[in-house]
Amino acid sequence: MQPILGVSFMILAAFGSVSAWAQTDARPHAPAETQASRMRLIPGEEFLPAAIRAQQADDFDNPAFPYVEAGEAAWSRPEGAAGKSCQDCHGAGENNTVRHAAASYPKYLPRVNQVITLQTRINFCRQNALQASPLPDSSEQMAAMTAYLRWLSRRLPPAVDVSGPATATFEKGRELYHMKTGLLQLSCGQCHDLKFGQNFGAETLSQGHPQSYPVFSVGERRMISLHERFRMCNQLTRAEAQPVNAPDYVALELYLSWRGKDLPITAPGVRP
Amino acid sequence: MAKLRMYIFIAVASCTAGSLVLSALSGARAAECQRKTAGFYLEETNAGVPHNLSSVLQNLPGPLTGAPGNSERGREVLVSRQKGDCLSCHKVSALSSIAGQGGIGPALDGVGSKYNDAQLRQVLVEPKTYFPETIMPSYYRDGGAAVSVLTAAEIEDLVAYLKTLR
Repeated sequence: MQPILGVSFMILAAFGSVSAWAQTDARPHAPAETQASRMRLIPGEEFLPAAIRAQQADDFDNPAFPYVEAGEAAWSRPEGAAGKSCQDCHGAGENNTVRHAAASYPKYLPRVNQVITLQTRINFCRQNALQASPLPDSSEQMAAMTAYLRWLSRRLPPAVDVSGPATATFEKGRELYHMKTGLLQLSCGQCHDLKFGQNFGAETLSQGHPQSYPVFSVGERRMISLHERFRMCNQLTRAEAQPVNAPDYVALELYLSWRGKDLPITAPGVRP
Repeated sequence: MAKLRMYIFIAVASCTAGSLVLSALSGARAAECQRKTAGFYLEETNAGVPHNLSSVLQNLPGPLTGAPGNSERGREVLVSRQKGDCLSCHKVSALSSIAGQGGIGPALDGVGSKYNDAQLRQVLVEPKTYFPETIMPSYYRDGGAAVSVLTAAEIEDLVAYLKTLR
């Protein structure tokens, strides 16, 4: 009886590994042009503690959701000297003509001849169309507007254009991703391409995808933008952190959005 | 590639063996195993750490400071987030009361008996001498705080502490 039991266990075990392999195959690869092109793309959520992951998955429990609602309210509220709201130009709800626009940022804007972030675009509209003051990059209102717009693009893959006039920024982002920085001389890729899934202190290294940003940090009890997250990484490698919207960070955001373009947006996220 | 396959095989074997013996894996551990066996990532196990670092390779026989280090201070250098911050990547069982120990590098248990002072010093100053593939940074460079994570004295203190891990 014992050998038969053993064999059946082995068959079960073998079946388990086969199904695990099948599951792997369902995951998209990183783009062929990356150094880690054999890497399977894994969403950031999978590296989170279970409780945080559950919090993000439940819109009623997700602490970033009040920001989405605040952003939605702000969308239709007139502001600035022109007496207009976002809705006056773009519409609202199903008729919002830019409801999926967030997925295409960072984006090249011909008028300024550079690649800009969603935050910069929002302030562009505020200053030109609304004739309102720009929102500080780390303000609650900016967090609300970006959380709302990114939420509208939820389940869509990032649709960034890295061709034409955006090429130079994109290539710079790729270079920065692999550039060793700081006193510790570590590149983004060394941790996020090579060591994802392993524990750095109490946290598990992810693959560094931007899909769930902006996120609510449970520890800091506030919203954190992608560029603020970059700053934290820079501090960990003991490099000099750059200001939000610095050209290097815009380039890095463009590269990361392209690299994870087969993973849908899950914003707004929750992080420890 | 052969090496890669071998690692995957080891991961599969250890996970399935574990599940056979215990048959009641916790959900988290099962998920962890599944991730490993699925090849999402290959974890380098502590077993891979060589017991004898090649003596042919360069090592740093003398103290960087001309004086031996202090193991008490070395412990502080190892733990401090602003100094060595070694626990972000390495586990030390002797310090298990400190939470949040990482797992990117091997556990440091027993390094004091495996390696001599010169080898430990060399690993801290330039780990790639012994481990060409490592992402572990160099912790000491000539040129002061602008380029060096630790001071020469801190390296010696750290060596003294690591020697106590037997």
